[in-house]
Amino acid sequence: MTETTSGFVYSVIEKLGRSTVKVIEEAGYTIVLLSESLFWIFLGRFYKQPVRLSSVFSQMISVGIAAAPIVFILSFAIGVMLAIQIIYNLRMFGAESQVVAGVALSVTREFGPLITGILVAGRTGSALSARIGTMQVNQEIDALRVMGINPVRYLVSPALLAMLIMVPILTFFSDMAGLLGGAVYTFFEIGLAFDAYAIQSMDILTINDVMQGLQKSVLFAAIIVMVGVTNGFSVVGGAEGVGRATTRSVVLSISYIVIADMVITYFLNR
Amino acid sequence: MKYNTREDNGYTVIELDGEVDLSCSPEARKQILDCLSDGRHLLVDLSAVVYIDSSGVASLVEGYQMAKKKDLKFGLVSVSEAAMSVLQLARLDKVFPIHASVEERLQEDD
Amino acid sequence: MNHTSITGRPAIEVKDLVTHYGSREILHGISLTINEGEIMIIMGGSGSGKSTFLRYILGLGTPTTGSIKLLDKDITKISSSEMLELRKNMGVSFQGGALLSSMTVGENIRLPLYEHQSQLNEQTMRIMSRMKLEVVNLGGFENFMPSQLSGGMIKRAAVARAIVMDPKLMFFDEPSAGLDPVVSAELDELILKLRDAMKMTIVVVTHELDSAFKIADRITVLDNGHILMTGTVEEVKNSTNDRIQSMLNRRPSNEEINADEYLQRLTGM
Repeated sequence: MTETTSGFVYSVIEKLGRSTVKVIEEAGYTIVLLSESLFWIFLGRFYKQPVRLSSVFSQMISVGIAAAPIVFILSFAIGVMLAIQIIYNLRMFGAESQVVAGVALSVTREFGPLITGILVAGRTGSALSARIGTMQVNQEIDALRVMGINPVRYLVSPALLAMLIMVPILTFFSDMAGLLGGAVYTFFEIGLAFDAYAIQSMDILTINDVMQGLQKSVLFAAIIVMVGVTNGFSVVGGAEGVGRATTRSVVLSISYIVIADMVITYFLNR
Repeated sequence: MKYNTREDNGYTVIELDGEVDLSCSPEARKQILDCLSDGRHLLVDLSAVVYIDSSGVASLVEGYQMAKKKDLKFGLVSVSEAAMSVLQLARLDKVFPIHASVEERLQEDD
Repeated sequence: MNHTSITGRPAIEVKDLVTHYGSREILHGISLTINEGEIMIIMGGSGSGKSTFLRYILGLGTPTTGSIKLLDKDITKISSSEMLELRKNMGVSFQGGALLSSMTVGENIRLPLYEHQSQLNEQTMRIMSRMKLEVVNLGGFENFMPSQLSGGMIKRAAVARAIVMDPKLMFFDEPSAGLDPVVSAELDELILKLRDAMKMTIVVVTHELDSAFKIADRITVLDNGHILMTGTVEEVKNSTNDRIQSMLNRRPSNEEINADEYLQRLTGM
């Protein structure tokens, strides 16, 4: 009995040890990928291997423009929901008109970046992971390498650059959509006119509020890309492996986004 | 690669010499296209070519196409064995007018 | 540099190559010299280490020990910029073609030119890529996506991409795998044509005996990470080595079993 128990304990410890090593290994790999892709972005052209702008632009379009409608709809809905909840709460104190401040601050500081991050993780992060994973399985990555085309420069750098530019822009767009959602609901619920809502929002919001959200979104963009490409490059085992990597990259990047959000929000507001 | 240009009975003859590869084919291309833009009939002598890569052959193709468009005469003369095998690889030996020598071409014209 | 056929000068020199996958040793000290203008076939069954060997001479892995010289440069030692220069002289045809699926066939073939020879005129690049398509009998397929082509066509397009820079070294990984006999014979012809016209040094990794015997100047037989022999087609055919004979006659080999090791593998103890 004691033998099996200790055996069990050992195997648990062994598993724990192995997965810790794996996590550290993966984190190391991600850091290498990140530094390498930054290297190509900033120094590639001095080595006659520039990051192709055309590739950056096409990715910006697929990251940003194509995601805009869904970002708008979701952010608008979040704005409405926030207004509903806040008005419900404030009614207890008879302070419904304070809803403007509640919506404005929550949307710009928290929900805009968060909803955009989660959405882009699901859309672009998974696509990135699937694309690179498929290329890995089909030996396309090897083909790039033997042609003397660095896969990180060719695949990761443009994606990273495109995301670092587009996610903050999308986040700002999401902020606007969220505020609009709040304004629409507030108009119907307590009859506050749009222009009054807008003026009040402008009064309450400081540059810092909006910037805080945008700073977070830059970090989210980096998380999404790096988690996506790390999983993509690590694919083994054919189409099934690609599927696993894609799922894993979405789950991981959303988890990292939420946790990073909590940590950063804590420090930014001390 | 070196090259040499001379006039011969109404033709401009460009002699390519040595290795025509990626590093010098833009130069060869320029020579060929410049000559044809001036409206001169052109023969390219490949007797001294020890190696020609596909960028070099591509320049010849472009030249031939331009000559056809401008209704100018064009041909390859005394093609070296090395150059011939490269032309054959893409079956271009059946496309280009190829002559043993400039004289042979002149006789054909008559 | 001259471009005559087999000169006897080594194009590829591998010395005492040892590689590991995790903690398992895969290649146990391989030494092999391949001469300029030669067609060398690397043969062996699955698990013989032939694909691993190819990966390492392509510079896709870092060996544990040993040296790999391509065109007089030791790829285990040179800087990444030297490696880049070397790669412009190497072409590889992968087993599944490995065309980038997001691009047309023409864009795939021009990709190395765009990346490395941007001094070339756009039109020149187009003509070059189309010429290579003609070489592999795919004239007119420039604007097709790889997904629209058959397996054999993809492989030929991949060869076109590999030779677009007129490399001095050309590598084929299982060129006839998954192809019908006619297409596979065409590919063999193409390999011979490339060597003769472009004076390439060609390394072919395959397990297809017929095609190997047809195109090889020399054959190297790998088995369990060792070289069994290197020799001409005749020498290989006349070899008295059991493993080679059973491979030639397509007999499953009667391997001796180490009882202790076998038991250990089964019980995991």
